[in-house]
Amino acid sequence: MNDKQRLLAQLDYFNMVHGVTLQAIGTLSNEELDFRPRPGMRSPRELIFHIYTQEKILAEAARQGRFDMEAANRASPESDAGVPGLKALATVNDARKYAAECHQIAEDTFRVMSEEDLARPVESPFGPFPASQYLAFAYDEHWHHRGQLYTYLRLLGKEPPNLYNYGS
Amino acid sequence: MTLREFYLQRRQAEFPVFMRVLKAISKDQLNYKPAERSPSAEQLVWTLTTELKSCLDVVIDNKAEWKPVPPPPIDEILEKFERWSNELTDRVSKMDEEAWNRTAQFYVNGKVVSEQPVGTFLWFILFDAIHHRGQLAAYLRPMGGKVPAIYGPSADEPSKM
Repeated sequence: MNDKQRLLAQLDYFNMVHGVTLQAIGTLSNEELDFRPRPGMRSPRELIFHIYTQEKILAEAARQGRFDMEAANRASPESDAGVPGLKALATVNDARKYAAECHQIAEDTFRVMSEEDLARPVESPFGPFPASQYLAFAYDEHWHHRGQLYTYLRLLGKEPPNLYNYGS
Repeated sequence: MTLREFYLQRRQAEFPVFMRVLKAISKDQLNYKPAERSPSAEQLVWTLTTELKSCLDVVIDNKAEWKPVPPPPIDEILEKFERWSNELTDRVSKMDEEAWNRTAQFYVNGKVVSEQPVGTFLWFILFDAIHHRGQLAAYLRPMGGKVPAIYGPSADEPSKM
């Protein structure tokens, strides 16, 4: 299996994982988007914004050949650069729509990359990584932050969706 | 790079992150759970650890059985986590592609619930563990602890990457 085949298989699986995340987001009410387990912790709105903005930005970086701190800050809800995007997620429907759009942009970006594109080094503040690695970064981030979101759902008294219910 | 080599690369990157999160747990708050139906912090750490044992069993014997075993003391759990994690990395580094693709069985209560290639099982568990580590990361502050840097700086460790 070459890098391109591996990436295509991973994108297919990522779509199923993302589907479960959309279900998890859908269990929230609009008011619960502002819930924080403790002051200073991210709210669900901020987690959703971060997961999906980061996915889109990492895909853009893989395509453009460069990832810098300015791009990283755009995915941070704590940064000034993240404020406008965060404000746009006013409701759960907004959040789900934003998640779906970002995921689609990232998928489309990665899916058309050639084997050569995927092997190309992409500069970052932490050193260069092959472009294909940027999908792995987005995927790791997704699993990690969704795990946090699952804890939040429990704190809100909700039943999180089955993590591996890829059939619905 | 083969899938096995890629898996090894990811394991090596993730291992120190797991250790940072596990060491951030307040040992006097192990019973903390965010809701009645949630696993306690101790149960989550034990799940992460026993998953490693299942991975080792799959690599060594091509089969593993999930058995609910009460968690030992936390220091023993952490020792097992580190030891089994290192052993898993070592064994996978010495596998050939045939062994990576061999079919393995996963049992629950004596019944086969899953049959899949060894490599597929290992990837599945790695991401399952990242999910549970994410859950655990959201326990830390309510437990009175601090969140370490994971994939980037945290509010408690803003300068570490």
